Amino acid sequence: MIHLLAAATADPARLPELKALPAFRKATRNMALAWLSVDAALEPLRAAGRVTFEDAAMILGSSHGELETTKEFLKGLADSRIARPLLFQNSLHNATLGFVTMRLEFTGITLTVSSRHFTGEDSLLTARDLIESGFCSMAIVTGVDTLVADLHEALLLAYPSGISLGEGAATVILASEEGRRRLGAASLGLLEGIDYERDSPLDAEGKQEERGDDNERMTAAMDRLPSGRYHDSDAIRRLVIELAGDEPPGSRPRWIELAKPNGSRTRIRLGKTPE
Amino acid sequence: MLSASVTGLGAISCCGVGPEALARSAYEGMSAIPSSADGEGLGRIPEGELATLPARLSEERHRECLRGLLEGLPGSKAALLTLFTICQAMERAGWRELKPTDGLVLATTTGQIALWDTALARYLQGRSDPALFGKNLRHQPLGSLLSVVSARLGFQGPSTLLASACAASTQAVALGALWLATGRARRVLVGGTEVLCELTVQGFRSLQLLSPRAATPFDLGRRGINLSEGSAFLCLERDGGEARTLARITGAGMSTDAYHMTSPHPEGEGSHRAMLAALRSAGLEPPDIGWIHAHGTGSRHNDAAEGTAITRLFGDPARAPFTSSTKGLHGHALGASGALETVLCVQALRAGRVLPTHGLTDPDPAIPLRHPPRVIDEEIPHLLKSTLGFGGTNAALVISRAPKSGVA
Repeated sequence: MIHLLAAATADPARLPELKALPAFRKATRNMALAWLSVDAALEPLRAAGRVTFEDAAMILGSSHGELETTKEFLKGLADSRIARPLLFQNSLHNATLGFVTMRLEFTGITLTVSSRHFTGEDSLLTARDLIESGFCSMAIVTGVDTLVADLHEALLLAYPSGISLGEGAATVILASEEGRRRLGAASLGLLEGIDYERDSPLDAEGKQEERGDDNERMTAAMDRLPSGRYHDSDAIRRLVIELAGDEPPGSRPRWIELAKPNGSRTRIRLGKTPE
Repeated sequence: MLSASVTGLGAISCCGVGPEALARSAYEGMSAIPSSADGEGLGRIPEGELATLPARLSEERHRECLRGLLEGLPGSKAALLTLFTICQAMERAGWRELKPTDGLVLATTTGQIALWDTALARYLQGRSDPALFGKNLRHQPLGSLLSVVSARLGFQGPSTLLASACAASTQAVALGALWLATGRARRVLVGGTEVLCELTVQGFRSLQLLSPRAATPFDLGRRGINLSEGSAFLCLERDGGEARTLARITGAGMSTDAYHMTSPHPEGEGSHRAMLAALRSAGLEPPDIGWIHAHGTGSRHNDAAEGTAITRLFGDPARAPFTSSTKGLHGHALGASGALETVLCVQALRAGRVLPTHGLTDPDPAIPLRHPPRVIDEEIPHLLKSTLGFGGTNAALVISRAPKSGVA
């Protein structure tokens, strides 16, 4: 049984205030947004006075990772053959989670996941696997992707035409029953399952990666994408939105459906907390 | 308790093609890291080796998987190496095909970077248009490597990509074993791939971490690391049976330093906790370990911190098991290092051998470890594989000897 204990998205309006703090002055946008969502998700648990990272894991999913910093590093190298060490250390996908763990003083299990369109789903599944196997009793799961201004036009062309690319960070906190009791937290519901069809199989000519040019299939996929802006680690944000939304009584268990730019789709099953 | 049979191995590194080339390098003490006049000893896979890869596989459909990628070199190098080592591991495990009940856990830190890094610079300098660069940028997400590999294999089972820096492929092995334990998959391919690129070479150089010659981990005169490239995959099954089991993954532990982005905790706090967690998950105590295959990069900070962690775990250095690092032979393959070194450990374990630290001539007295003076013939029941990564990630595995094993 995997409980959802808390869920939050990052509020970008808080970024300027955050960046003014000494500890965040050098944070990248990815790091800052990830932090904001983690901080917001932990808030209700802190208010109940029971946050402890004993027996905990943090999983962070990001598809593009620290692309902004990587861009700056490579640009500096190309323009002037200068390699800046601070940019390099912040350019790795793992840097985002490294930063957040230092701010939180989190020393438990940490993994960075990057599975492109299924980054959010795989992050949730990895957390579930760790909890179910007894490696931890609580997991903080964050999905974050950010837009890079100089590359926006090219990024749009890397996705199917018509897609509206976005950015953001969202965090959910999962726990076993034991973890939930130790934290003294109420359950928002159960994460009962995640199904997905992954990438479409190779066609006869082996051009799977070029399927973004298949207009008919992509048009059908676009029809299924929710309105609003998409990013690859989006599944966690959608889960947060669903948990925060109005639900008719008796509507659980139910499936949350997500369409992907490559024509695939996933479903997350949200269950009712047992009485 | 974790318990996964290793039934197949695939590897390619600067030491050569296949797990045997890696093992031979270790047994004969032959480093594949050249000293460089440029001051950077890098472990590159010779370009000429790549064209030979399809012919080294037995199955025509596996050879076909690779052939198309040869035309896309150097951009498709990461995919080529990954597919080769996956197919090699599968053939050796006797896996005829991948089923939807199988799993795939891939680790990398730079993925298919060769497909877009140079194009990025051109684009930012105004020498390329957005449409053209957009096609390159499609390969920037690390998950694009997982996509192309899965597509070429026709694989639709559970899969994920881990990007936890140098601990990533050790985590991949742990996660794969965990999937078997929870029933998420009936068999799992686990491993990692890394190719050398300007980002990592210039990045590590800017951190003043590169050694101009073969690294000498734990040596008083150690001068830094050798970046290298490579790929390694292992086939894991819940129970491969006595005849097919090469070794067993019996424990895993992970932790975080939360100390610094690139330097490990000076007291090896996180590394110590990861190793302890691995032992606990295996139901073992420190005296049960006969050999520690360390991360041992050759950097001053890593080796000192890891050495401290190991000393804390075992108390009296005289009672500690042998500790060594083989990175002076094959270099540091970043996201692939954990898997590559686990492949080497499995072979050494099967052969009843403990490997020394290549190039270690003057052990650092501040790191009191028990170093094997040469290749030692000893049948170790359990070894501990340790890795540390940027961002403060630590991961450790307990690898146990199979009940019956032949010579590797």
